[in-house]
Amino acid sequence: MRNIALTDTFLATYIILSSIATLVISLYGILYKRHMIKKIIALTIFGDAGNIFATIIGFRYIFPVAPPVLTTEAPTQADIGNFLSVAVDPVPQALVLTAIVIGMAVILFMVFLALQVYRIYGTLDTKKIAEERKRREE
Amino acid sequence: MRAKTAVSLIVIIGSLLAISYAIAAQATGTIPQTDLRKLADFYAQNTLNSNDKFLWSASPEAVTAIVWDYRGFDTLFETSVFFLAIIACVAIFEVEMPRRSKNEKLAKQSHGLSIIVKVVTKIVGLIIICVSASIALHGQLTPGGGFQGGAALAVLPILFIMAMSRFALEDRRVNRNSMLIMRSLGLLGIGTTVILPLIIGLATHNPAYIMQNQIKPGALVSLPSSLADRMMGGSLWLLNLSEYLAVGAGFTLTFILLSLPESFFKKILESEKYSTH
Repeated sequence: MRNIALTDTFLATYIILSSIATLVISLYGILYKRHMIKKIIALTIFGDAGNIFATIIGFRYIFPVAPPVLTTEAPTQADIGNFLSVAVDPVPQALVLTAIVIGMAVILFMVFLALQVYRIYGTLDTKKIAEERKRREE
Repeated sequence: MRAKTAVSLIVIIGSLLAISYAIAAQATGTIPQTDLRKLADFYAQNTLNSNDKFLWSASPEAVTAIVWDYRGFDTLFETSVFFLAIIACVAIFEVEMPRRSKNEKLAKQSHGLSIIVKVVTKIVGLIIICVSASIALHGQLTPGGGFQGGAALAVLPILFIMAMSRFALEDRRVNRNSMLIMRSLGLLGIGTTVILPLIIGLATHNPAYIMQNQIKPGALVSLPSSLADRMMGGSLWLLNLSEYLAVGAGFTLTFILLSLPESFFKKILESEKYSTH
């Protein structure tokens, strides 16, 4: 089995760099976009980039690679040995699968909040909402 | 304003540098790795290793074993986050659901898209129910589980609302109250499964842990690892079923609330405005 460093493989480097770039671009979207729905979209991209990055961490760069599921009903020690030599890391997958669903619920909550803000202020532009609030307080 | 822009820029560049440094310093090990990490090796080795029954989880699926057994409390608290997010959505839209007027009842057929789309939606809906139940209930054997099955099931109400209307769901008794009850039943199922080992332990005079699946040293209580020659994974199957109900019903609930017409809320807001003045 070869040990492959980060820079040895073009594809791995490419995927890692692009996922970092996606994280940073989505951070830009969250911080600089003024429209609330655009902020929420950027947040979903942020979450998905994080999830993809976690899955890459769990991936194994070997040729016969298999999901972390045993396919024999009563495995012997040899079966488990074979399984360990091909299976990918199950821990990041376990974290990601709950994170996706919980993320979706939290995003839905934010959409509900944005909808309510739109009903009260008639806009989702954060700057205009601040102006409108100041106007209403006076 | 300028200070805010500067702070945002520092946050972006700082996080870029922090992530890059963490990867370059191999905080997560080499990416992509060739060997299993120690923790993953432990989980993969013990998940169906019947030689050491104190460590096994009776499930061939290492991911589900981690989600509901080895790191079960993580998932329990994630479920509580899910519960809070959905209950907050319901709290924001705390309104009396609008009823169908007589004209709308008569014009039942005229709602939604064409008859072809409606029929296809019904066929696809049946398939979605079967597939999502299969994903959820085979979670201890194959990739899948309650979270994925519930998320797959939540596609169905969107399709129905798009192709027909919210009333098509309400005709099938899928409304806010029934979905709240379903979701509560799912959460109650999770809670019951969590304290089930304690109840069994009380009945058999054995000490037991909360959320215990298989026997542990000093606590010889275990939920059935197989039923009629089928691997059940002890508590994993029960937890997956409950989570399936909770996630599916929770998302359906929010989609029903999102499908309420905007004019309805405008009316409520206006009536509130007049009542305060």
